[in-house]
Amino acid sequence: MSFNWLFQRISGILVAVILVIHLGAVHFGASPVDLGSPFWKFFHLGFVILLLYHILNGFWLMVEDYVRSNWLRISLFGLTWIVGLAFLIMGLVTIVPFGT
Amino acid sequence: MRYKWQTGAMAWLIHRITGAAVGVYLLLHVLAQFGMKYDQRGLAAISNFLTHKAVVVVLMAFLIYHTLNGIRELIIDFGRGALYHQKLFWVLMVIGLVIYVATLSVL
Repeated sequence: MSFNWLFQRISGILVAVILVIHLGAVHFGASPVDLGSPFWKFFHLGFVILLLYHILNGFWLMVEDYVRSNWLRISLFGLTWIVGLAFLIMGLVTIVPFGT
Repeated sequence: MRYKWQTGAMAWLIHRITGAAVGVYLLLHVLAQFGMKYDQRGLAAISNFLTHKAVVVVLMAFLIYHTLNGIRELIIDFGRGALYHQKLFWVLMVIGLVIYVATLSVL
């Protein structure tokens, strides 16, 4: 059983639970929540990390299924990491100073 | 890779398509929030696109499908879902439709 395969499922469960809470609290909530509070900062940092993993690992699982060419696979592997790190940094610098 | 016109293969293919679309949406959502925080006015167009009603209507459909079919995948992979995966698909789609209608009514 491959690590990628198993962790796509584990991260999927976590993302689904977090997403429902995120939608309920931030987008469909009756009253606004304080996104600058420590709880919501940790919540959204965890969300961004798990979500990025689930999105990019999902992308990679598709690359493994559809892309045959070796050099293209290597390029896409690099691209996946660049996108992941870029969005991780963007998420961090957006969430950490929330409310300040 | 080739897919047969059967429930399982179609469910899987739609899972990938909706996953890719929702993935792009959520990456753009992070980008738009980043733009809002750092006053990047060029990124406001992304925000306008993401909150457009037609986009949200499609997003919610894709998101509900991807989540429910994901639950189905889990039941198949870790439970005994392989024995009744077709019935499970349609039961979850009915549940999904109810959730979708409820979601649209509060948009």
